[in-house]
Amino acid sequence: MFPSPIDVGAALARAAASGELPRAVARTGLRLVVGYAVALAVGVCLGVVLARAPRLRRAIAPLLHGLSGVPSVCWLPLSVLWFGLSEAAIQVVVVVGAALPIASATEAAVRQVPPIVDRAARAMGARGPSLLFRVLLPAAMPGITSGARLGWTFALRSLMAGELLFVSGGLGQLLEAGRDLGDAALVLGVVVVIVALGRAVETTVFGRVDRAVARRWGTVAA
Amino acid sequence: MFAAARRRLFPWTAAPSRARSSAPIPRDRWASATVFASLQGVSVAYDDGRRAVLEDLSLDIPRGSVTCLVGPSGGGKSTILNLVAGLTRPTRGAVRSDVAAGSRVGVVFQEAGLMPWLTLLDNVAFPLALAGVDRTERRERAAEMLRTVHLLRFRDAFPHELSGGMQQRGALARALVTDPPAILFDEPFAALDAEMRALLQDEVERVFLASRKTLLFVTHDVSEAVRLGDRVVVLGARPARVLETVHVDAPRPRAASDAAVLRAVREVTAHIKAEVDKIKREEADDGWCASQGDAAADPRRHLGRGI
Repeated sequence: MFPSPIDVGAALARAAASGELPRAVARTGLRLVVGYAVALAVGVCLGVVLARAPRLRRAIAPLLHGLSGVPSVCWLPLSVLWFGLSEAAIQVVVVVGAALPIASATEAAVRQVPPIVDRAARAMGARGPSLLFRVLLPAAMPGITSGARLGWTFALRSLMAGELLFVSGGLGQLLEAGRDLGDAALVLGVVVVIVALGRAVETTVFGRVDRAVARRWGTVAA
Repeated sequence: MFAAARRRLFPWTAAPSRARSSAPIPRDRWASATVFASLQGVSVAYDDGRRAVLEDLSLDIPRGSVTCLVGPSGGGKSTILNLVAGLTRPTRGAVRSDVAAGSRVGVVFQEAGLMPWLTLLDNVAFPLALAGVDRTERRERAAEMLRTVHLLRFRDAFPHELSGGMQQRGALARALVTDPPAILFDEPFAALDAEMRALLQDEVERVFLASRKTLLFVTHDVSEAVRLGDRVVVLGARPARVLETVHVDAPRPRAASDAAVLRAVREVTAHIKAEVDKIKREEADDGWCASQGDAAADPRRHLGRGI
């Protein structure tokens, strides 16, 4: 029950050779990409609306804050009732889990756009979509990217919880399989893969984006 | 009903886009040969009317000349500029101007307000991008404008890499790039050192002499106002009103040491000093009244005596 690193490596090699591990990684990865993309779109839109519509914000922000305390996997039973045992059901969990932190980061970032930037833009005649896309969103970009980064870790957590509870392929199910077979080495090996997956995206994608944004927006010394 | 809800939820979708709309929008048509903007009996109050910034103020900004607004700080000078620029709506009264009738206007604020994610060149080109000018042309025009403010070497720098004076010159270039008939300045050089300020004043005068645009210049610096203005409007504070309009007849280009300039500085300063003294007296009176009133209203005072 306490496998050595060598056992873990061997279990991973076996899973990789059988094709089980690559299939699971691909499946989980695809779900993450799709769910995260939807969450990013939903979260940024929601955040902008909340930031620019004070009445709506006062009405629904307390509810959203309350909901963001609920682990997103709690939505799985409802989601299964609505969508059945389908991809959609598990995607709902990912989207809900990731969209809320992205939305609150976006809201804060848009509200903190320096008033002078907003005023200068309006004085130049920026209205409606041009104000939103040319001014507010770029001005809020440093905050939005850190929200996006946070959303990524939430998406990964939500998906793992969802896959554990849901017979569906993916790394979560591989964990379950390891438990069923009493194969602690496989379980630990999958955990290692999950860590590696999360970190790889964190450093390659978000690390670079964050650094580029910080340098360009002047939020750190270049 | 949906339109009303949309205006509330997405206020930015409601205002018509000035850049795109070519169809005439029914507006209060405004055409005056001599007056660029006219404020008539305008009041502005914040906090649901509790804090009056302007009350029943009337003021005309003539075309093709430099009007400077001076007055004590917190006196509503910037509010007047915001009204003219269409950035603030009056609580009461009418603001009629070329801007309200759809004309473009350049604005330079105290902070440069350059977009931090754009290079200097793209910042100067930004108003052109909003107006839908194509990329090649707007970069050419922006570069041309940067040359006139001597910043072409820094075209690829981001604003945070530039000094305050350079940023402000960038903001001036940005205000000029669409060649608007009028430019509004809201204490643009207040945060700069004296030398840079003098240079930029020369720059503004040069722009004016070259183009005879309408300039509205808000400042609390009397010598700056007199140095630049054809007319210096002295405002009183809280709520703002026009105390006096001083005409400066010194020939251009001017120097701060010209005799006519110095004379006008003395005149404007005397008006402002009288106003500041009056405010001081009023505040002293208010203070006395308030302490008397409080003491009389406070029942503990009598209690204290009783005990």
